[in-house]
Amino acid sequence: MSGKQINNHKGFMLSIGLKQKIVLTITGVILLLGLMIAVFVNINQTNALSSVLQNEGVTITRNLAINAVEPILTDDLVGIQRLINEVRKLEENVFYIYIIDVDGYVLVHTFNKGVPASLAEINVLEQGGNYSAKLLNTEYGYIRDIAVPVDSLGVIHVGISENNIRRQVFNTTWTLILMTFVVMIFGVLLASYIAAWELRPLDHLTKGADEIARGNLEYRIEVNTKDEIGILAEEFNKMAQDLNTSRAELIKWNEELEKRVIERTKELATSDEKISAIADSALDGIHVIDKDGIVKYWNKASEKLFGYTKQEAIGKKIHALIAPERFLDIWQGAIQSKAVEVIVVKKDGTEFPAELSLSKLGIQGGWDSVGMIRDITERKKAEEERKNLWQQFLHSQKMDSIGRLTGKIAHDFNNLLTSIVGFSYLALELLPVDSPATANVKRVCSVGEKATRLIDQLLSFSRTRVLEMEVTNLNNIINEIRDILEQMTGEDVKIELKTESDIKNIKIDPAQIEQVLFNLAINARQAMPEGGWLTISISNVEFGEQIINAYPGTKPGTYVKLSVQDTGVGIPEEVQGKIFEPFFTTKEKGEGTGLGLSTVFGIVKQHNGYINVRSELNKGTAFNIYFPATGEELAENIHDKPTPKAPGTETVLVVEDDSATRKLFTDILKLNGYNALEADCSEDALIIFEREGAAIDLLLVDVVMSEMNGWELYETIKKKAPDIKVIFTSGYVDNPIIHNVILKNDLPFIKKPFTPDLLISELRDVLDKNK
Amino acid sequence: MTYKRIIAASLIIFSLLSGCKKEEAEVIILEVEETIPPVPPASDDELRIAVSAIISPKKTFIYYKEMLDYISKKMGMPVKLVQRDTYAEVNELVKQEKIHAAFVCTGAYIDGKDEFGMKLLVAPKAYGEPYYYSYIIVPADSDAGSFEDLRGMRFAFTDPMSNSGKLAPTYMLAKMGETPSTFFSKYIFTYSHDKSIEAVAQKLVDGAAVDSLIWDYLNATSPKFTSKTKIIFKSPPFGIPPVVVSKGLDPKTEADLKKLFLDMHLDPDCKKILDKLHIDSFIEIDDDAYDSSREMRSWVNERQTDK
Ligand SMILES: Nc1ncnc2c1ncn2[C@@H]1O[C@H](COP(=O)(O)OP(=O)(O)OP(=O)(O)O)[C@@H](O)[C@H]1O
Ligand SMILES: [Mg+2]
Repeated sequence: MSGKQINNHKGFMLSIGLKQKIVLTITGVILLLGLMIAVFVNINQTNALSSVLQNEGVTITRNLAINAVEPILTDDLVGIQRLINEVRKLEENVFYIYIIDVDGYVLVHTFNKGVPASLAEINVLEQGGNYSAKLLNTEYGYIRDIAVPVDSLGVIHVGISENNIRRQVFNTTWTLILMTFVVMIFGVLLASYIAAWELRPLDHLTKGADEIARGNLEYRIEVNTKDEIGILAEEFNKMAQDLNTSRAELIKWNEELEKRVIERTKELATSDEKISAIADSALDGIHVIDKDGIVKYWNKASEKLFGYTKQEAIGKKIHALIAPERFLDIWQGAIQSKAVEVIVVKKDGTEFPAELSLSKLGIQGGWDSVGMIRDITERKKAEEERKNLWQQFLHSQKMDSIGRLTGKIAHDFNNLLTSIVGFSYLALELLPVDSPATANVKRVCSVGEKATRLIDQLLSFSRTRVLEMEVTNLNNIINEIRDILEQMTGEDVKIELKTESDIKNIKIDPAQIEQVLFNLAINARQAMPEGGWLTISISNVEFGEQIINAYPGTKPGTYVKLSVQDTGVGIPEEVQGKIFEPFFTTKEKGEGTGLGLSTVFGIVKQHNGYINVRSELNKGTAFNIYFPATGEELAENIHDKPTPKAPGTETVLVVEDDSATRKLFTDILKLNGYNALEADCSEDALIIFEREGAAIDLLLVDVVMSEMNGWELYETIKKKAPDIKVIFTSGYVDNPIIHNVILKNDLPFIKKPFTPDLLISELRDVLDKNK
Repeated sequence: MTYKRIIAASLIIFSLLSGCKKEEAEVIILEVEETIPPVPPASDDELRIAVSAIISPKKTFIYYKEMLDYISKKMGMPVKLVQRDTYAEVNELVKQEKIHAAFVCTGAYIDGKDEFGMKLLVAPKAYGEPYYYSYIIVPADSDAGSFEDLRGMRFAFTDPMSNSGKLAPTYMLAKMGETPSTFFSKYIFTYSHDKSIEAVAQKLVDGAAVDSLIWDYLNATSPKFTSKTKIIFKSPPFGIPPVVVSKGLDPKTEADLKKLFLDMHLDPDCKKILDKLHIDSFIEIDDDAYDSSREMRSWVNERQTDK
C-alpha cells in the first residue's frame, strides 16, 4: 500500500515538468526557510528577551532590597510600601512586589487582596543565594518571580510580567511568517518567470529532440544563451549534425547490408532447402536437438522410422519420444561423436535396434546436436544368421569328418561282411539239407546280416549308402508302417497322425525313410516311459529366400515337412547340439548305441533334406525333417519281387582287387550257371579281354581299384566291344566316380555287401536289357 | 526521494528548535483568598531596646544584635532591637514608653532629660574614659588645617539632636559669631556618623563633625573611609552617649537590666562582644557628666535660632 503511494508520488514527481519542479522546489525551500526562521526567532527571541527581562528584574529587585533594608530596620513599612508602589507604577513589567521577613510574615506587598499563600513556596531562595528566578504561568500571563534577599531581614519578591515580550515575539513571528509568504509568492512568481525564461532554450531543446526523434535531423536548435543550456543546445546541434551524417552513412550501409542479406538469404534458403532435401533423402533418421534435448529438426526418414511426423516431433524431448525408459542410461552415454548401438522405440511402442551417432553442432550461444539413427534390425538379423550359419557350418564340417571316418571303417567291415555272408550262403547251398552244419551256417548268415544292417546304419550316417530312390508320398509310407509303429511304441503311447491329402511327392529311398521313422519313434517311446502322445504330422512348406540364411546349403522351394513330436522328457539344451553325433547316447550301456539319430541325420542329408530339433525339458521334443518335394508322379510296382531266374549261360569277367570278394563273385556266378572269368586288376582284365574278346558278355567291375579304376577299364573295353554290358560294384558310395558318373548315368551298380540273390537278379536284369 | 529527505531534515531541525524553547512555568493563580499573614503586633513580654542612629541602622543592627541577644538570654525574655532614622524619633518612643530601654546619643539624652525626664541607666566606658569628643574631619588630601579653613565650604552634620555631630560644631561657629548658614556655603544632615565619614571620604562634603567613638572605632575595625579623612579639630570631652530607660519601666526590670549591663565585662562571653564594640565596660554615670553639653547647647540656643 505504502509502496504504491511512494510510486505514485514518484510518478507524480517524474510526470511534472522541469518548470513546475523548479517552482515547486523554490516554493518549498522558501516556505521551509521562512518557517524555520520564524520558529527559530520565536524561540530565541523569547529566550533572549526573557533573560534580558530577568536581568532587568533582578536589578530592580536588588535595588529595592538595598533600599528596603533601612526602612525595615527602622520599621518604616509605610516608606517601603511607598517605594514599592512607586516602582510598580514606574516599571510597566513589574506586576507585583512583596517582602516577607525572616519569620515568613509579609512586610509589604502590592497585591489587591494579599500575597497568595502558595506564591512564596514556589520561588524559595537558597541559603546565602544571590537571587532566584522562576517562571510562573498565571491568569495574568507569564510572570517571572525574582527573589532577592534583604540582608538577613527577609526576602523581596518581584514579579516581572513577560506578557509584553511575549506579545512582541508573537508579533515578530507572525510578521516573519507573513513575510515568508510574501517572499514565497514573490519567489514563485520570480521562479516561474525565470524558469519560463531560462528554460526557454530547454523548450527548444525538447522540441529539437522531438524533431530528431521524429527523424528530422535537419532541425537545429536556436542558441541564445551562453549558459549550460546554451552549451547543451550547441552540443545537441552538433549531435544532430553528427547523427545526420552518420544516418546518411547508416542508410547507405543499411541498403548495402540489406542487399547482401537478401543475397545471403537467397543463398541460404537454397542451401537450407538443399540441406533439408539432403537430410530428407537420407535413409537414416536425422534429427537436431538443442542442449536440452528438444527436437528442432526431424527428417523424413525419422518420420518413417519412428512414426512421428515432423510436427509431432519438433519441440518434444527426444528421450521422451524414442528412448525406451529402461535404456535411458545408454542414451545418456550417446553424447560422444562415437556411434553407439541403442534400442529405440517407435510411436506404436515397438522397439528395434538402432545405431545412434551424435555430433555437436556449434551455433551461436550454445550448441545443438545432430543425431543420426540407423535401423540396424536387418544387420542384426544378418549378423545373427551369420553366426548361426557359421555354427551350422562348423557342425556340418564336424559331421562330415565324423561321417568320412565312419564311412571308411564301415567300408572295410562291409567287405569283410560281404565275404562272410556270401560264403555262408554258398555253403548253405552246397551243404546237404540234413547236414548238422546247416543250422550253424544259417546262424552265421543271420548274424552276418545283422552286422550288415549295423554297418548299413553307419553307412547311412556317412551318407555312403547307396540309395534306391523312388518317387513316393509320405502319406503312403506312414500308412504302410503305422501298424508297425504302433507295435513298437506300445499301448501307453498314443500315436496321432496329422496330415493333408495333397502332400507333395518326394523322391526318396522308402526303406531309409521308414528307418528314420522307426528310429524317431523308438527314441520318443524311450523318452516317454510313462506314456504320452506321439504326433506325426506331414505338411507342405514353402521355403523362401530366408531358408538359405537359416540353413546353409538349403535351396528355396517346396518341401514336405515331416514332424515327429513327443510329450517326453525333452533334451537339455546343451545336449541338443550333440545328439546327431554317432555314438552319442544318454542311455545305459547296451541299451543304446547312440547311432539312432546319427542314422536319421545321414539319411535326411542324403535325401537333400534338413533336420532340426525343438525340445523343451519335461514338455517334449519335436524333430522336424524337410524333404524337397518333386513334381514327378508316383512310380508303379516299385516293390516288384524279382522273379526266379533261369540258370545263366553268359560269360562274366569279374574284376575285383579283393581276392575274397572276387572268389565270392565267381562262386556265385558259377553256382548259377554262368561262365566266370576273373582278374585281380584292370591290366589283367585287359589281357583277358584281348584273349577272350567277344566271348565276354558282361563286366562285373569294382569301381575303386588302384592303378586304373573300374570306370576307366570299362571305357577302354567299351571302345573295342561297344555292346559289352557292365555292372559296377563298390563298398564306397561317396566315391566321386560312383556319384558323378555311374549313378548319374544310371549305370548298373551293386553295393557291397550284397546277397547272392541280389547279384543274380541284377545280373539277369542287365543281361536281359536291350536284347 | 530527495524531496522526502529534505522534508524529513527540516522536520528534525524544527523539532530541535522547538526543543530548546521549553522553560518550565509554574502554574499559579494569583487572585486567591489564602494569603500570607502580615507581621503580628508586638507582644507585651518583650523587651524592646532602641539604638539611636549614632551609626547607620544597618551597621547598628550588625554591631548591637549580638549584645541584644546576650541581654535576651540573660533576662530570659525576647529582646527586640528597635531602630529609627533620627534621634528625635527614638526620644519620642522613649517618651511614649513604646520601648523599655535605648542607646541614645548624648544630645538626645540632654534633650530627653529636659523634655520628659529621660532616665539614665548606665554608660559605656571606652578607651579608658567615660567621655567622647567631636572630631572635625576633612578629606585626607584637604588643604584645610583648621575649622576656620572650612568657611564657604560644604559641611555635613549628623543629626540635629547630635551632640558631637551638630551641637559641638555649631557651638564653635557661634563662638566665632557665625551660624552654619553664614559660615558654610551648604550644609546637610546625614543622620548618622558613619554616613558623615563616608560623605567626607567621598568628598560629597568638604568637612564634617563626627563622634570620636565612631571614627576611632571605624578607623580601628574598617578604615576604608576613615583612612580617606583626617581630623583637623578635636573638641573638649563630652559625656559619653548613655543607655537610658523609660520612666514607666518597672523597677525590678530596670534593676536587673542595670546589673546586667554593669556585670557584662565580667562575663567572658560578653567581654568579647564588648571588645568588638570597643567598649571597656558599662558603668554607673551621673547626670552631671552631661553638663558640658547642656551648657554648650544653651549657649548656642541663646545666640542662634536656626537649626
Ligand atoms: N525323442 C527324444 N526324447 C528325448 N531324448 C531323445 C529323443 N531322441 C533322442 N534323444 C536323445 O538322443 C540320444 C541319442 O539318440 P540316438 O537315437 O542317436 O541314440 P540312442 O537312442 O541313445 O541309442 P540307439 O538309438 O542306438 O538305441 C539319446 O540317448 C537320447 O538322450
Ligand atoms: Mg535311439
